Amino acid sequence: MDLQTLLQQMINGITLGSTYALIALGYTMVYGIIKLINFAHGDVYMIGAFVGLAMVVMGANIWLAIFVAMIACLCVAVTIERVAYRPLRGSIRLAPLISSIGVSIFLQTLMTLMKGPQPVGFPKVITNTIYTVGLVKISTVQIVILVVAAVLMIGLQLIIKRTKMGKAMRATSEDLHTASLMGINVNAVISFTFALGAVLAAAGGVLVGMYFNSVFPLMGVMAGLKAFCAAVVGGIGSVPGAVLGGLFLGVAEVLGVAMGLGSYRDAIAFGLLILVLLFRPSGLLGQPEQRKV
Amino acid sequence: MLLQLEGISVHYGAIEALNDLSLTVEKGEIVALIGANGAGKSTTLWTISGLVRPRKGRIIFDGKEITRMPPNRIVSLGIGHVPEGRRVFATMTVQENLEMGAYVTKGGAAMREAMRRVFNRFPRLEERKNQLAGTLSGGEQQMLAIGRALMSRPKLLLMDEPSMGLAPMLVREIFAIIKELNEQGTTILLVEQNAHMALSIARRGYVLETGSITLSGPASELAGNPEVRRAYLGA
Repeated sequence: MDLQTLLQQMINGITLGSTYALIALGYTMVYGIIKLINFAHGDVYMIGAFVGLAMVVMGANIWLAIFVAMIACLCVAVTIERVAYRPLRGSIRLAPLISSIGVSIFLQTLMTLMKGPQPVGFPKVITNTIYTVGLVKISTVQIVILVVAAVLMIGLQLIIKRTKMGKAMRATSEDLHTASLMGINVNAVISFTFALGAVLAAAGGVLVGMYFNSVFPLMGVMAGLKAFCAAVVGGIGSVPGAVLGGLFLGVAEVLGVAMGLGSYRDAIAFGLLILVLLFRPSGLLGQPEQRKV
Repeated sequence: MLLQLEGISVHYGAIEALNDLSLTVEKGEIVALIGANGAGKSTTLWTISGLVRPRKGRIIFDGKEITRMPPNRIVSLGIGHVPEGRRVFATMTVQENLEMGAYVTKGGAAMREAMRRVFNRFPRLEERKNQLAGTLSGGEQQMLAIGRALMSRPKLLLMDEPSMGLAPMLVREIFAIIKELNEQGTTILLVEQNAHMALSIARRGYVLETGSITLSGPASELAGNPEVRRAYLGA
């Protein structure tokens, strides 16, 4: 592979990887707080894509479409937490996990009933010009994806580091009991965490729908699994880890395809997951889990 | 009466952790709750703070029933909690830890004022305010845990084993701080395995054995009681 191809594939990989990262953040934040792998998260992303598509079909521009999809997914995710996870708080860890699989199947089936199983194309919302920068080409769509992802991740970082709610999230994820002894309303923090994750996933859904020109009810399955891999590879519970893991997986996948492993496309993410976990069981940036007495 | 527990029973699954426990704390007192490991001392404090729901009984604080309130409401009514093992937020800075202690405080000015008071009392925390709490020494972490609980300006401070794991010199320092806090108007319910130290600063004490109060009275009387001396004071 020559330098030009390599650089070009890096750009493509980072674009894809930043959409994985947007989804992975939701997995990792929720896990960080309530130690739940939220299997319905990929389907929230799918709903984001459908809402964004509906908005574009109604004539909205891409920014409005992303914004409305974010609001819609925020409501969906907070409702899911309320209905399917909160009543199981305090039961064994497996119970909400199973519940999340149920929610996932419910959302997929519901959307299949409403929209049919076939992929729907995404209308042209932005004129896709291809720019040549030095050796590489980058399209308007890619720029939009990279910019939106970067802005959202920086925004997330600011929320977590600077705001009262963000600090409460960190405190709760470190020690939920002590956080509630401080007067932190842990339920509100958990809702907020689900909302944040859903907002990021919704943006990811609209962006991917636009990038691959395809939206369908089961689109959250593979994307969700890969993003979950990204979160685990980066170290589940670690916010920078999710971003790193997402980019890493995106680049690896695209480079793998460019090297002729196209038919193993989906296997690359899972292969890397196994490989990373063999050598670093808590992921690239994860902390080894400490057992609390 | 600032705090009153009436016939509290707590179960963890089938296991009875507290059985018909009653105790009171008057305004301005230090009350010591002593007992062996597993007697239910921490459970008593968790129940007051709302982390654990009692199966039976009532808890009244400052004239209000708080038995089934969520922990955050109980904090805002004026109960601070210094948990066992300090439990500082290790990956957050000292200052952020204190901010979490003032989570129920409305307004930045009130919070800065509370932080200034804590820094006045614990100058070492101010020196280390940008340091991660996990990098502090054990004694500093205990001071942070106390300072953090003071941030909400509590009327009643629940302290769970504040001397645990500290060197004898630091233990004396922590107890001096507890006494000083009390003299400045904070009522304290103190849980300790170090019964000797606890009874030396408390006005009254309760002895807890397998979930029930077996003895209570003025601290000096308990300290002289042969039963207590044999079981908890190593005499």
